[in-house]
Amino acid sequence: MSDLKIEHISKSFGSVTVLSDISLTVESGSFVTLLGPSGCGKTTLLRIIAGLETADTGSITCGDRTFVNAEQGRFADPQDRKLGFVFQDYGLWPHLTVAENVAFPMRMAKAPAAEIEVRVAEVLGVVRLSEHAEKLPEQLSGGQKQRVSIARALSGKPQLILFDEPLSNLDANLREELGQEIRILSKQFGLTCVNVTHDRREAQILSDQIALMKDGVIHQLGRPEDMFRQPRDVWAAQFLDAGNILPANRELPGGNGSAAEVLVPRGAFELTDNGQGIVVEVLNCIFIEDRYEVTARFNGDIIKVFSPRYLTMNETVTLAVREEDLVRFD
Amino acid sequence: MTTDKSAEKGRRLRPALFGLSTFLLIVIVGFPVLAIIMFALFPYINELSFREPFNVLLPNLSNPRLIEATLNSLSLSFAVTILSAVIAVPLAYMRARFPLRLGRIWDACYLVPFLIPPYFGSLAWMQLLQRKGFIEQWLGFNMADFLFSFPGIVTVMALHLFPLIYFTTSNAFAIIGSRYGDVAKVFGGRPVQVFFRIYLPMVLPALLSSSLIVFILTIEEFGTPEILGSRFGYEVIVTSIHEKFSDWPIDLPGASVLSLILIFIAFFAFQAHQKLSDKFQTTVENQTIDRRGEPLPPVYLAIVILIFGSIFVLAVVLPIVTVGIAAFMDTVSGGVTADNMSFKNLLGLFDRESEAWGAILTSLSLAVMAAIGTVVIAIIVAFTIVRLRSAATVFLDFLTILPNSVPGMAVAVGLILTWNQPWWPVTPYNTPLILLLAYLCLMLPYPIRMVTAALRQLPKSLDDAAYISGASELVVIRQVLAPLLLPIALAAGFIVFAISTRELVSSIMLAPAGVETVATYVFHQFDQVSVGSGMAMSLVAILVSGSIIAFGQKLQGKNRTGDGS
Repeated sequence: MSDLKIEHISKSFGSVTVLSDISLTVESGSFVTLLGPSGCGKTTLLRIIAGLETADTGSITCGDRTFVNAEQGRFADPQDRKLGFVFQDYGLWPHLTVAENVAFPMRMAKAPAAEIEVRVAEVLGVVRLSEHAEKLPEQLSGGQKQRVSIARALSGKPQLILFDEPLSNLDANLREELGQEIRILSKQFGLTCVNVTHDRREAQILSDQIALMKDGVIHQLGRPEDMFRQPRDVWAAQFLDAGNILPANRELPGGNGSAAEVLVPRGAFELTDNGQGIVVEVLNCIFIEDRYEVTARFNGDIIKVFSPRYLTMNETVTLAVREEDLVRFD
Repeated sequence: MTTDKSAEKGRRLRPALFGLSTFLLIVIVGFPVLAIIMFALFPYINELSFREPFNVLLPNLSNPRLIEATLNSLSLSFAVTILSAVIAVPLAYMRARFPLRLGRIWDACYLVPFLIPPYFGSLAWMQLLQRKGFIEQWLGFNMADFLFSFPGIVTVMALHLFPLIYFTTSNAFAIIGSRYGDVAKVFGGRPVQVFFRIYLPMVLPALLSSSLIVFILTIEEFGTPEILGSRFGYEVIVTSIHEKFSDWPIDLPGASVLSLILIFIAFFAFQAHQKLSDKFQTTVENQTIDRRGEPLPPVYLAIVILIFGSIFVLAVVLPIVTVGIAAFMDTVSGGVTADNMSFKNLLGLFDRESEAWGAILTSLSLAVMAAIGTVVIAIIVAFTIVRLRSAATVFLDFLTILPNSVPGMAVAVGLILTWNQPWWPVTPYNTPLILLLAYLCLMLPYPIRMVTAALRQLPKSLDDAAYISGASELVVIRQVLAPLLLPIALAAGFIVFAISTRELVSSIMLAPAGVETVATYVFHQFDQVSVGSGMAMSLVAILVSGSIIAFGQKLQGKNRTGDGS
């Protein structure tokens, strides 16, 4: 098996600590996203895994290969790590055709020409770009360019593929579509993948596991659904946009405990006619996807809830709150 | 596996390139500037002694001739800058309201002054306006009193330099587009108010920043003040440095003080220019160049075309036609008549035995070497600055910007002060190599600016993707960066070549005895009153270097729009 093992990685630039004592295991064949705001160190960690940056301490191994062993001063060159990399801005060489871009890693590995030709055709087929092989990158759309970049990352048959915000240059519809495609490909070929993004939705689309990063440490690690349902603290809940954060209040069920703040997911509210629940004033109501999203005032706070029917502005309604969905923060 | 722990892995070539580019820039740019500063402060530094510091600086700074030359330089530069702006701004504003194709034609016309070195222009104006000049022969009067006066010099220089302001400002008008003005009109602004309250303030940073370039070019200029100013005793900093080297005993410390003043003024003007052009970049949101002003009614269009045409005739047609006619005249006194016209002067240039042919060969070979040298240095420097980017490159950055604010005359003085010292075991001084050093220093800003800008536009992921694909550093440079930078490097090379072939001031100061370049040949022919062959040489130089610059700019433009493909 070729698990990616990251142990005790630290990194400072001058007096600024970017990563402190990061440890993380990415199981073979799984997709992990490093998610966090800009400056949390996620990109630096990815570049250290790729060999584009060195670490001050710690080690990284992939299967039986050592990428980094800072204590022994051993750093494999990026060209020796045999991994794939998909860049946010695609990183396609504008003077080379699509096929030449995809063939580059194999050329560097001095593969025989016949083998290269077969493999290029194969991976271009996988990303559905066979008919564009002889085009230059500038003749392609953004989504096509990113698929070429994926084909290039696949072409050398690496065990590990790194992604640097692969979807963030694309528009919303394409993002969802290409994201699904990447996820299916990664499962189909049993690839180990590490992705970096600040976009929680991109993380949700792609990942088996999310490592939420803050100030150079892993703040919370878990499956996307667990993380969104059980954020560790107010900061995590806010960054993930997991729901409404309200001061613990007697009117909320269980609000009279020791907690200071409560996370109430938007789906935890339900319209009710029986007078049991909290009373809110509707400020706005819009139809998004397949339901109404309501902005309302509850005491001094603005909350967002889902509703199956249209609510008029300034209307006062009663909402029941499902207690088992609440998360309490001290 | 490697065991060293450098900042970035697998990049062993970079420290070497960093060392190399720093070394080259210190020798080419750092030495001359340092020499000027040291000599101005310590007059006996050539004996490696720091004695009597400031002994030259202070008396020189209070010398009335120096003060007068400095004041003359400043007032000349101010006047030329203001006149250039007065000519350029209305043209630039009207330009935005031309139909697209007509606008392009006028742009092409106003590019021509860039292709002509300024001293050719002054020589042509002299031929035209002086006593017994062409105007007097045709129309019976001369304008020598005007030409050889302060307003005369200002006019000649402004007619040559105004296109700089014209292009920057008309581009700024185009970037701003008409939408801000439309908004003002919606809120009740009348055209004149809209111009003065909306457009002019918005293009002001661009206008000022290009005006500062005109200011710097004027204060650096040697040919025109020497040719026109010397006839009525008008001395500026650059010409008085020249004089310090022509009169015995040569006043090296005095020349270094004057050069220092020159560098000071140019340096601060250049800094201000950079600040202002950055400011314009950031103030305008949504830069789109597709919006044009509303089309002009036919009558106004005709008037505007007339104005553009008259300026074009004055700035371009008259000087070039004059050079052209004079090049074919056998004798100046013979006048503009058919039997005084022949190809004698032009053919004389290509006589293998002649001084002229020697000058052409010298200029061509120096220009080829300067072009190759500056482009190679520029590529190394650009790679170091753009791709290495560390605290250490700040110094390198400074060295690459420095030549922008070191006038040609100061480079010449600096090179003399550096290499004319007895302690060097070998020295390029008194050989044509010193000219090459001067050209390298003067021309470096062009390729460095062009190649660095091109490299900045190539995202770093292009390199990273190659490294990750298993490429070594050499492969990245050879297979990824070099092919992408090639067109721009070629364009830069052509431009350097063309400008080097006609460089005047450092050539006059540094050419060893018996060595002539194209520019010094033209210049000296006028001293010896063999105007015809000087004009013939000017004509050839204008045509050859002009077409090469135009070709280089076309190459550069193609590269920019083609987005590196």
